[in-house]
Order: sequence, then structure tokens, then C-alpha cells
Amino acid sequence: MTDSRAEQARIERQMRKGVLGVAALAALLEAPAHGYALAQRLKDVLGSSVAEGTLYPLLASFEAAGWVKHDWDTQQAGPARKVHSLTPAGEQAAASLLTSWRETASRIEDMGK
Amino acid sequence: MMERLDQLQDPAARDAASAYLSKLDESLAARRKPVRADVRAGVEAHILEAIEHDASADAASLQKALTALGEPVDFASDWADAVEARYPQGALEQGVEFASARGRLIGQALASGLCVILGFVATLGLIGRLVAPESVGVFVLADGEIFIGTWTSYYAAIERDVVGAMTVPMCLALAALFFALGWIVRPRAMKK
Repeated sequence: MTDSRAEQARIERQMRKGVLGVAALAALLEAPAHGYALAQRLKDVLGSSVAEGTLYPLLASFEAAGWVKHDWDTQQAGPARKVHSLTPAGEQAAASLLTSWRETASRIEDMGK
Repeated sequence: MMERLDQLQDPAARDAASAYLSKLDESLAARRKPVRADVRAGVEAHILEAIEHDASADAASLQKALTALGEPVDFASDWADAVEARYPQGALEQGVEFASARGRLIGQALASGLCVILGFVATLGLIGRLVAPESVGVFVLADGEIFIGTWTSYYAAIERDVVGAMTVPMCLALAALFFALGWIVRPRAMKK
């Protein structure tokens, strides 16, 4: 029984980690955000099993791919914040990946019926 | 509003932050300076946000932020890989890096080779001492000079065998030591 629960938890963790990229793009499609705020937004959706640190390599690789850009927010008190937002190419990629995600989820749900 | 983690007032929180950043630095040790600085700045910014730039944050709230962020070893390498492209290397930098890597490899190979040769010399000493104990060892000659190696009384009489019965175990220990050192310092490319 314990093994069954552990296996279920492991698969859930893998699933959340796997969809982190799509979730990050979807969150940025909603609104630009700085790293910490984005991590909290994703934690609300995916739970705390995904370490916040794993988000930053994704953001950096999205930036290298030309999907995400950053601007410095100097409006608030304290040090400037790096605010991430989607480029037009990133918006296209996010829309395409979300469509693919919905289709995949729908097919998996159909199999379970 | 706190801008750096070393401005934390609680010593326990400051120590925890320092230990975490040390672990991060260890994970990034092999990376180039601008890459290390980029990732470290990102990590510090995240932690500062998590504790709301509050210099009076206690160790518990800092630890909560660090736990949520995760162990540096789990994300630092991927993060550094992803930011590498932001800092393209010039031809000179690439050349220096290549030469440095080659130089290290050659240095390791030479050191390893020297250790193996010394290991063989010690082994030969061991065998020689077993075969001809009167001719191989550390001797004081009749004229007072100290001699190490193989000797024949044809040249001068031996006054004293300095190491005596310990010559065999010493040769054995030296051979083992040099062969072990040769294995330890062998070039990285040869390691599995």
C-alpha cells in the first residue's frame, strides 16, 4: 500500500515537473512577472513538490530560444527587479504548446473513460 | 529595504544564507565568472524576494525560502547551462581555456608517469635487496659518504648498512605509495 502511494506520488511529481515549462509559458501569457512571483503562481497551480529553483533554468533557456525577454522594473523601492515577459515568438510557442497539452490531456481522459 | 543577504541581522539566518550560497558556489565552481555571477545574482534576488527584503527575517523564514528554492546541486548546473549563451567567449578566452585544459592534462600525465617510474625504481630496489642484500640499500661507505642504490665492494668497503632490515618494508611502502600517487594524479580523461 505504501509502495502504491509512493509510486503515485512519484508519477505526480514527474508530471508536475514535466508540465512546468508549459505552465510557466501559460503564466507569462497571463501577465509578465518577475521570477519569485512567477514561482509562487506556479506553486499555486502545481503544488510545492516542484522546487522553485527549477524554474530559472527554464526561463533562461526560453530567453535563449527567443521566447522570453526581460526588462528591469525600477518603479518599486529597493533593487531593480527582472520582469519576464513573452516575445511574439514566445506567445506563439505558448499557444501552440497549450493546444498540444489540451489535446494530449483530452486523449488521455478519453482512454480512461 | 535589504539589498544583500549579508545584511541579514539575525546571525543564524545570515549563517544559513552564507552556507546556502557556498553550496551554490561549489556547484558552479567549474563555470566561467560571468555565468557564476549571473546565477548567483538570480538566486540572491529570489531569496530576497521570498523574505520580502526584510533584514530582520529570522532563520526559520529564511530556511523556508531556501527549502522552497531547492538544493543548489539540483538546479545550478541547468541554470548555468541555460545562461552560457548570454556570455559568448572570445577567441582569446577560448584559446586560454583550451590551453589551460591541455596543460592540466599534460601536467597530470607527467606527474603520473614520474610516480609510476619511481614506483618501479622502488620495486627494483625491493627485488634487488631480496636477491643481494649486501649490495642494495642505503650504505655509509668507509670514507664516510652516504650511498643509496646498488653498490659493490670493488670500489670501497661498506662501513654500515643504514636502513638494514627495514630496507625491504621501506621499498615496499615506497613502491605502493608511488603507484597509488600515480593512480590518483592520472589524467582525468583516463578516468572512467
